[in-house]
Amino acid sequence: MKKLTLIILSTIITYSFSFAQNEGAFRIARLQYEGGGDWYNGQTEEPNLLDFIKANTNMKVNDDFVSFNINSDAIFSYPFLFMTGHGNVAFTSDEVERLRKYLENGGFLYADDDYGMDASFRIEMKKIFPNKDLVELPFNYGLYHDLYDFPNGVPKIEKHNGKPPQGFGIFIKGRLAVYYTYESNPSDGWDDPDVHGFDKDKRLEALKFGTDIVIWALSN
Amino acid sequence: MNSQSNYFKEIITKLERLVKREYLFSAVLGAQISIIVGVATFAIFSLIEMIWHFPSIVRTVLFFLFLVIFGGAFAYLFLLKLLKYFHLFRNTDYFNTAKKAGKHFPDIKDDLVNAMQIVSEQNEGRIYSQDLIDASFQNIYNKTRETKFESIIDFSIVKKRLIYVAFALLVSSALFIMIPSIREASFRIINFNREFIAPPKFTFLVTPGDSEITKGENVSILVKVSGKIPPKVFLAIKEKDQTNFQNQQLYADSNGVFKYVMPAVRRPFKYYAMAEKIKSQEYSINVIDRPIIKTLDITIISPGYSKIAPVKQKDNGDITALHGSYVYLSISSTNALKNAYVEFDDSSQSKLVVDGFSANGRFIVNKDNNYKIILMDQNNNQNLSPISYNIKSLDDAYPTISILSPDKDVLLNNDNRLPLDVKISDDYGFTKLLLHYMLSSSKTEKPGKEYKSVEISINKSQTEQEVNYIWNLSSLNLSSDNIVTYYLEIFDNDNVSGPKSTKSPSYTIKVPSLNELLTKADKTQNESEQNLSKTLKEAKDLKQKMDDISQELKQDKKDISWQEKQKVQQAADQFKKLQDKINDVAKNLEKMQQNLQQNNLISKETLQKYMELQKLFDQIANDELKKAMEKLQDILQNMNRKQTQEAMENMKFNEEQFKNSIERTMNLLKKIQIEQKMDELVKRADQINKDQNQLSSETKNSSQLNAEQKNQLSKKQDEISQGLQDMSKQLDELSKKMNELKDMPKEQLAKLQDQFNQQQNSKTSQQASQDIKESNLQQAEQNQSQISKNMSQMKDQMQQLQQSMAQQNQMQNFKNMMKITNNILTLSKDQEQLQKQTENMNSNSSSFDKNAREQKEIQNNLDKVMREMTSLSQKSFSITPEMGKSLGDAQNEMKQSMQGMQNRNPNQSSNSQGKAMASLNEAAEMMKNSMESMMKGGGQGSGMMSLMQQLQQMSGQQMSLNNLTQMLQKSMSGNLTLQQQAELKRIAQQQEMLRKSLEQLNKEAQKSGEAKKIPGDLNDIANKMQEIVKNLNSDNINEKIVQQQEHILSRLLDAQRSINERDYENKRESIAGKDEARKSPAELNLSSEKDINKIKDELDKAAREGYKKDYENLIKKYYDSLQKGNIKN
Repeated sequence: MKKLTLIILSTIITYSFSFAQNEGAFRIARLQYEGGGDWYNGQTEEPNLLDFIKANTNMKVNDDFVSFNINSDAIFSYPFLFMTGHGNVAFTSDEVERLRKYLENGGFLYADDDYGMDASFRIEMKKIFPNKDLVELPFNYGLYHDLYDFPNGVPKIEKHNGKPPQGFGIFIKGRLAVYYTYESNPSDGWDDPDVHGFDKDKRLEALKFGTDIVIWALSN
Repeated sequence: MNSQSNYFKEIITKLERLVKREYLFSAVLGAQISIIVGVATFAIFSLIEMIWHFPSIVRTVLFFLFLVIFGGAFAYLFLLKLLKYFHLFRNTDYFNTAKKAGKHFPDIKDDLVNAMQIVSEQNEGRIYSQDLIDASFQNIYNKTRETKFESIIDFSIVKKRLIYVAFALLVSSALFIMIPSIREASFRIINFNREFIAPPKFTFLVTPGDSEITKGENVSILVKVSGKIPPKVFLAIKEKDQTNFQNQQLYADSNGVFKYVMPAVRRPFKYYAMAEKIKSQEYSINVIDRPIIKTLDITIISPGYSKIAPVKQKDNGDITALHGSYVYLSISSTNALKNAYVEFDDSSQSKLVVDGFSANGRFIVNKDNNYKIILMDQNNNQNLSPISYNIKSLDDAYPTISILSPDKDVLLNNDNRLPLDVKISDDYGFTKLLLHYMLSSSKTEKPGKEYKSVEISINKSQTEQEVNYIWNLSSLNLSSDNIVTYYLEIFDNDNVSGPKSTKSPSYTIKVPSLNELLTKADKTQNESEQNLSKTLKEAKDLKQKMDDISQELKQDKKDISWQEKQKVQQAADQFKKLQDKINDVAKNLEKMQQNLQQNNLISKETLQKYMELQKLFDQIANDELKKAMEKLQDILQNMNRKQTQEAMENMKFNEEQFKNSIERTMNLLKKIQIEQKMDELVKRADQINKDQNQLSSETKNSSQLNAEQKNQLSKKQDEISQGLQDMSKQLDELSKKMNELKDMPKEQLAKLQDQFNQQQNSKTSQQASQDIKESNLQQAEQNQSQISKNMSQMKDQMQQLQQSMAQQNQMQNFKNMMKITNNILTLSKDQEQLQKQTENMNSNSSSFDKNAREQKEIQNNLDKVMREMTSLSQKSFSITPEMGKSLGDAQNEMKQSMQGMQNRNPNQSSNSQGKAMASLNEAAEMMKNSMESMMKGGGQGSGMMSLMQQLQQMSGQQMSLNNLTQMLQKSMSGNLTLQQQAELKRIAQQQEMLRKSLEQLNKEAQKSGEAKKIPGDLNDIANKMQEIVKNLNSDNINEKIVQQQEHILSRLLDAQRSINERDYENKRESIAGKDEARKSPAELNLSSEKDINKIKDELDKAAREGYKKDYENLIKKYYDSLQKGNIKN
């Protein structure tokens, strides 16, 4: 029953956002950033996740890979921004302003550390929200129990340094506006199977988790 | 008688002294007793009066009774004795006195009384002889002559009793002093004839009594009741103009004090306390109408450079502002003002302009301070207890600067550009960023003494920024070995205290000499070769070790021992270390190759081979190898002998491959080294030719030069001589390297060497140097010209040699590949034929042996082909590991086929033969494709080469364009001339053409799928080019455009470099994570954010409503406590 409710909810949400995007379907925008990190890596990630969402929910999605610079006005048409990479992230002060504006006005940013992004990402987030911290979400947080249940929080998809996976959030007026996964790397699990060589179960776990993030971002 | 009467008189006189002393003693004692009696009586009467508070009549009785008692005692005990002392009212009995004296003095005893008796009896007529009397008296007289009768009276008693008197006086005084009611009672006794009213049961102590307050102030009235506390206490208050007092019941606090607070008193009033009809004194409170600050508006205007918007504060006088800020005060008062001023803690004052009820003024924040606002109204009333406000002066911090890149001394690249990545920050902005530089070392010219400066364009208002500036050093005309020292200096925009600056550390840029670059490359190559060689040796040793371990593991035991496990582990670790070493070699070579490429010291052919070599390096440490190693590690955990042995065998196979790959890489590296050495010699010859031509033209014009200048020229010629000697050495080196390999054009090189030696170029150059010194310029020019000619010739010949060697190698490789391909195809046909035969056989066929022999022969032939291929792979990159793998697969299938025949299983055999044939065909197809590619003139990765070459060409064009733009910008003074406009249009056209080419290239790159990272970058570069074209077409040319062009160049070079970078990211290891149970993080507390906002709102409200500072603090503390959970509801 809970799942059915979520599916119906997700359908409504998607239709509402589809108008915002003027393209009739939900899309994820990849965030381009400076600093040297490979923002562009894994370009099959979003299309695969969106295909999975399409197959398992009633959401209408467009699985094209799209990416924008923060300075592009297009980002305001996308309720869900995704960023990942292995290296350094650097926002200029203009970009900091714009991203803050985007997030404060209802936008959602999901950042996934693909190894090596953590330190710079945290610094840049502090620039955007000097008075807010990335707080680790408890396992009973709603995101982990959306359509799919993750009783232990973020799943461990990539080994990285072998540390426990962690999910952090920044809240704006009680709404989760930024969600950040560390030592997990779910987005690698969304990539084509031959890219990382994960087994079927691991990929499925990552895709299910990605679906939960999308639904949570759109419904809260 | 005379004598008798004389003695008698004497005795009487002595007795009289005693009598008088007795009376005196009695009088003093009587006085003491009288005083004690008097004091005691009065005290007792006062106590009685205090208790009963008698009417006048009783007090009259008491008073007179006191007088009687005291007077009686005084008269009888003192006055009477005193009178007797003076012989008044006295009847002296000397006999008694004599008795007393006789008693006291034992010598006298009754003698004196007896003598006195005789005299007395004679006087009464008794007959005593006069002589007897005389004798008696004389006798007594003589006895007492020295005796003082009065000494029997002891006055020490008087002294002792004086203490009682004093005590009585002290106690009574204390009672009178300490107990007012006794005092009052005594007063009433003394004033016995007056009537006194009885005291009330209680009294009031009222504070503040009569007082003055400021209008609007609260008045707190305290009433203390002494005596019997009445059940109800009232405060009666009457304001001015009111006719009647209004009663207000008061309630006592825990201390028994009755308190009443009159809030915001605006009019004077009278008041008194009252209870049970007993009233306190009536008091008055007078209200003074002092001026009070009704509103306080503050505007802080920060210094303009800070760009801080004016800050307005309402009713909050505390100021935190940047040093130099203006603070504008605007006050409204409750009273019309006479004057007003701001008084600072350091006693300085700032006068405010008064206008009716308001006052305005300003002051400058120049230090931390405190201030008060003093108001005086028209009635000269001053505001009471003005608030002390705080001024916090904020200092403008120094700007910061750090050079992020390059953060060390560097060598200048061939493009003469140094990209600087600088981070600057300041609290309010900047004035300028300067790049200071100076030629600090040069072989040919004098180093500079002062730094020159270039201003770098920055966003002056952005307080934190990263500046990417590409410094074009072309205009400095630097030559080899020149060293430029530079640093950056950032200035902030503080125009109050003057702009402050911060300097970065100094770094140097060295222009590397050709020799330096090439020697460095040589060194890297040699080291790489040595490392590879060492690694190969270690790999061979490891192979031996692995063989031994493998042999040991074959023992028939179930588990492996701990020692065996250790050995396997050590072998695996060693293998891992070898792989790491190979990776290090690959990285070093890649770096070297990039360096050579950046300095244009490597031909495209050699570069291509380096790229192929990098691929080989990648394949050495391939995934299969890593997986085999991981598998071995996993199996080692189980300690299972059989599985470990299998894994070890697998590892051995991989190690063998690893060893062979190193061997191949080494041989190919040697070959590349030779080709690179030839590139180097071409470059050296070309460089010497250019340098010599340049020097020749300088020599031609040197007739007017002085000795020192000629000396400089001579030095330059000496450098050429050195270059020629280096070249000779490098030729020897090349010859040596060629001798290590087969199929090298050694003879042609030997001829070139002979020719070079015969030309005696170095000697000719030395002669030219000498000629310059001696001013034999004509001779010098001839020698120089000869050297130029020789070098030009040498360059051409070396290039020809390179070309012919490449052609020869290619032909040889092609021929060998063709031969191998034919052999593979023949083997394939043989295999096909054999398969057809096998297909028709049944398990009872007699042809199994014959077919097995034929299969064996095909297999043997395949071994030969594989050996040929391995041999060819040592010389050519055209043989790929995939080809080897296909042949390896064919070989395995052939073995399977043989096995099938031995088992008399024609199906198995035929099936394997089919697979072997397919693998052979696959290998032949790959060989064919590779040959076709060679025929087209490209090897493996030619697409990337082409992309890189095109990018290289574009970088060159962009560099020329940049230089043109910069020259044009420098030549500008104000508006562009028509000629300059035309030039600018040409640059814009060329930039547009370059943009279109880049777009085309991008499309091609996208189609080909080469270099995944490139397309996005190229697209971005093309967009930026479009921006520049737009600006140039609008005749817009400035430092920003110049920098944008430099950035485009930099990005083109980066793109070019990234093509041949080993794509580390793509090869990054992906290992699936394992889920592990862990505790959930703490619950979220999202309410804290709301709490903070709530506190803020409350405080804002408090500030708006004009609470006093201490109340504001109290609110803050309260909410802080609430947030911390210290206060519980």
